[in-house]
Amino acid sequence: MSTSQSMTMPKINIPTYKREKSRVVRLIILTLILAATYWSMSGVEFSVPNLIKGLPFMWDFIRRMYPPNWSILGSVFVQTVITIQLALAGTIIAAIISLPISFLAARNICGDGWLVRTMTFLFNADRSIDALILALFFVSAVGLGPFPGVLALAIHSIGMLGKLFAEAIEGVDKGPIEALESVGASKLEIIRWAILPQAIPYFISYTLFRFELNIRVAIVLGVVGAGGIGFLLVQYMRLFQYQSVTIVVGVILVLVMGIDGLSTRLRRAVL
Amino acid sequence: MINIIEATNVTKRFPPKVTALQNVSIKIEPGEFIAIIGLSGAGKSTFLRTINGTLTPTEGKMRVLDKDLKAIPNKERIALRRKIGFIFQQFNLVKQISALDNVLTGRIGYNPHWRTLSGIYSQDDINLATYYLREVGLSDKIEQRVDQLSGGQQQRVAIARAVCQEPEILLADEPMASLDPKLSEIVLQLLQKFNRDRGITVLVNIHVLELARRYSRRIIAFKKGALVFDGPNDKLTNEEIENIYKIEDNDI
Repeated sequence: MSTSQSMTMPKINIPTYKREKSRVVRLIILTLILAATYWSMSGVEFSVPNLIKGLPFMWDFIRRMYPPNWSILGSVFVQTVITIQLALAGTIIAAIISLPISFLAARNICGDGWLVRTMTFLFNADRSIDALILALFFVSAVGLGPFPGVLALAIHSIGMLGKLFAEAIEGVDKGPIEALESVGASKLEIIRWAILPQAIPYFISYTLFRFELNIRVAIVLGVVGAGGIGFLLVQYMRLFQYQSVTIVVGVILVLVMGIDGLSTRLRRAVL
Repeated sequence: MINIIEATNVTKRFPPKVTALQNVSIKIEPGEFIAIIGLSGAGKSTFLRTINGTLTPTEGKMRVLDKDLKAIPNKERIALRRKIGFIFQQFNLVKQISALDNVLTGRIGYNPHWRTLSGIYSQDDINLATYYLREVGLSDKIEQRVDQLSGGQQQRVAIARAVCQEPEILLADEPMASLDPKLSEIVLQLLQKFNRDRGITVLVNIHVLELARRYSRRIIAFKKGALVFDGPNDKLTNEEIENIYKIEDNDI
């Protein structure tokens, strides 16, 4: 110990410091991560050789996508409108249903009792069922087409919007509520004049955000038969018309990015 | 009605430990202008909130406008509140709507649900609300959103809302605490004006002693929930003031 210290420096006694996470713990964590990676990848038959073997086919696929078949652009637009309608209808229906029932899930309106807990549970349960699964359920109920898609989107969105709306209601400034109580206002009047003006910008923002997500979901729902641009994509794939697929994929990209950009701007404007 | 407010042995406890008001008895006549002084936490705000019934006394009796606040049903208590305006330290306005819409909420107690919920107020109510906005000097801010107004302007909107209730009692809880000295004077002058012109009974919590002495003839003082002074301004001696504002060692 003393060998490294120079003669001019006074001798100091440096105690050893034990780190909170020892090297052994670090090693165990690292091993666990590696084990989990191996376990999951072997389960899904992940194989690098197969991936390399597949590369020429991928290249072939991409090569056949060129040149794009511009002639189908018109019919793609028609289907794009259907996808937008699908997402819009689902979002609006969900917002209209969520709006009143979200008040039942807000602690500052309905207290901390069984009602709020039940509503929160229902919202969470609803969110955990994917729109795709709901769509399969509704297809068996009302048949193929956009209508079961709208139902699936709407029902699935209620869970998220209801929860977010309730949080917006819980987040309002309490001062105006007290002021309205002092005026002699009823609970409904307090909601109308103290809570809604504060919460509505958030309601709009969350609804726009849900619309963004629903555009993507609507495309996927099209793949399973709800119509729209997603349906067009599967059709061209099945017919091996890859030059048309190029156009569809391009339009999907523009659509998603366009809606995202527009919605972000609108949300910034209302908040 | 001789006394507009009559508190008899009012005690308010907030379990488990806090006693905000302790055996408070006071009589207030219509048309008085009363300043309430005392350290923060002395019970001033609690006292005002037991008057408009947002807080109920744990013990004792509170009679306001000839009604026993403890004995009347909830619906009647809510109806009584339209006769009692309240002005808050933090204004408590709805910032996302216009000054006019805020003042119109003062008319809620006088209107049926369909009007208040739809926001379709009668022309008379709109005229009244804009009249009071002009009275507080905001004739050019009527349609402006409240979050675009300054603090002093916001407090004047809040005053207009309170007087638009056409109250018999006006309670003000530290209405100048968020404002600078000059704006404080404007707020007190407005309260004084409505007290003189309309005969509205005004109770105002003030933590600035000098302002309390200048604007009110009768001063009451709270200390640790108890009423320790009640009398005309000129009877408030230096010893009394020292006692009211004395901070004891175990308070810190």
